[in-house]
Amino acid sequence: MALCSLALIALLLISPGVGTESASFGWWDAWRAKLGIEISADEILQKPLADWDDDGSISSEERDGFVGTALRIGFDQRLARSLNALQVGITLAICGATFQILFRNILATPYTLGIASGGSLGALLALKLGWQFALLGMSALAFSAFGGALAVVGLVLLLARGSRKLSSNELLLGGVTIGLFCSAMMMFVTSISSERETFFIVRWMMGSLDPVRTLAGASMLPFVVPAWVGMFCAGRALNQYRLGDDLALARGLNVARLQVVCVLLCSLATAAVVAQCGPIGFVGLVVPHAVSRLIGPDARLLLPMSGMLGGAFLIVCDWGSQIALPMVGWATGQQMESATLPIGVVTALIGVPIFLILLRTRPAQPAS
Amino acid sequence: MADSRRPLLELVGVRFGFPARPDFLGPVDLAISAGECWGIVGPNGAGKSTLLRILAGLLRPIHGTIKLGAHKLSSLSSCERAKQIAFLPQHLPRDVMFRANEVVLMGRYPHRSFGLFESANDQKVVMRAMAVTQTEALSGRHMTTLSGGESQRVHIAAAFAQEPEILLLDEPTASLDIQHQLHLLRILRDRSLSDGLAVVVVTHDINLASMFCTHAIVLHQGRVVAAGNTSDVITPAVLDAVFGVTLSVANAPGNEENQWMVPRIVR
Repeated sequence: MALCSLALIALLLISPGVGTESASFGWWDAWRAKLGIEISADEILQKPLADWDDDGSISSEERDGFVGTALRIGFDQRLARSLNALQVGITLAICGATFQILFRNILATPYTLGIASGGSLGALLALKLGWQFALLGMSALAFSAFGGALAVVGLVLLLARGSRKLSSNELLLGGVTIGLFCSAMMMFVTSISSERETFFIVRWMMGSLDPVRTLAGASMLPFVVPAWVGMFCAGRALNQYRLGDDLALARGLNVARLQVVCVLLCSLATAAVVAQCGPIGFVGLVVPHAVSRLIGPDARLLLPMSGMLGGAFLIVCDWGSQIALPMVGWATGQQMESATLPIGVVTALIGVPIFLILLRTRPAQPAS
Repeated sequence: MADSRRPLLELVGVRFGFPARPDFLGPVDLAISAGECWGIVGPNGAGKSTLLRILAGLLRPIHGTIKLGAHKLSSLSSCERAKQIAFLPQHLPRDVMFRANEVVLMGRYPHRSFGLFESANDQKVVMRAMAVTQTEALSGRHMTTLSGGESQRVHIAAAFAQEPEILLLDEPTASLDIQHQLHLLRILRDRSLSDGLAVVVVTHDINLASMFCTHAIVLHQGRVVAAGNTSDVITPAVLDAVFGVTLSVANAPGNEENQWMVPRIVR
């Protein structure tokens, strides 16, 4: 666990230095500049300024301007992006792990209750109806997506409320059905939309860390942090829950309360993430599996470790998404239309091979 | 240990029903004291498991009161209840990826309301429980790799680690061979004799019940047909009436006190 946190800090440290070719400077120089250590523009841009200026000379204002720009790119954009990827990754992985335990289903993801479809429908409606406003760092689109996601979860919970405790199968079926309904509604709205709107919503559904600025990133925190803390504290209860309702109840665990609290906290967190970043796939499904293969099923370790690995994984994937297309463009000599690859593509490209290797080399315990 | 005069668990006029069958079970009057082994016997659907789940606090009776020591069971928090009553359901989880010692450690759940990890004392209790149930050798094994008997012993160890005064078991011997059945019953009886643990088992095996249990309660269609000392309760007359099967009594060879009920073959 300590090792994992160290690795994460290292990732964040080097993140100001990772980005596209057009502004390349070392992470070490970036931090030195940030901390006010005297540094020359030559150093931070890693090439002599003579290349930039025809006459080979540079005034101190120009120099400061270069350093300032580099700092803005390094910290306001790259580091902020990485921090954002970190919180999204943590949230998705923790919520995925929790839902897999809660529904006793290895295929559960943070989106199993229909949050992704509800959010997408909300976003599409905001786009279609042309809502334009921004509040507390959330755009109209994000607000609408958040609302859509929450509406779906509320509906699912209402459906399952009939019995005294939530039956996980009822929840799953309810979530999948309502998710399908939302998808159908989206197809309907898309079918009467313009090409531009359709393209936009398709891109939105691929998930992206692009549009998220610092304020928008911070607007997620009040929703995701309670989920992190809550799920970490629920570790023992979730372990007990794994042994089955009867045993857990007889040992004094309030199963119904655990289910409701977990579903509420995780749904809120996931809805906030979906609202800002769209449904980024794969992290919530595979990271918890990978972690449980490595360290076992103990939820007290599984949840925090999944969170850390999910965060690190998404940071690396985000770098990949920024670097990949320019590299392809450079290799083929073509001008790429889009600057970044959808993050969902990268999570799958990087995650699937790793997970398949894990699946092969560490077989599940044989059933006796 | 509780005052031996006062029963550990006392049921007065307990009734239970489902919406479709409001008078499914009861009234049941029962007093279980420390060191006693109770067997709940009866045909399928007689309400045996329901009665056990009521004792475990998983079901709430519609009428009547249950007293655990000096307190009403319904007034206790579920954790306080779980510190005194342990329950093993009939179908124990076997497909969990936990190791055996982790499962036993989970038995400590009700004793710790705060903090995520177990204390040194918890570890000591778990070691003792695993020694008593002879599961130390299984300690690091995954539950999925254990045989049915081994898995059951691990869960019994977890129940012991819970340090209850009353242990409730639903069909604990149903999936075990004769050797493991006897082994299990011996472990339970030892605890009962040494620590005054009260044991309540639901079982279909009448002979095992009459051999192992000090007391028995016979249920038929939700009503108590007989309750008391095993030798008074488990008799061919009672069983004939309840099961509708004619039984013969045979003395076990070499052990004249032990009576065996053998069904007459119906042609």
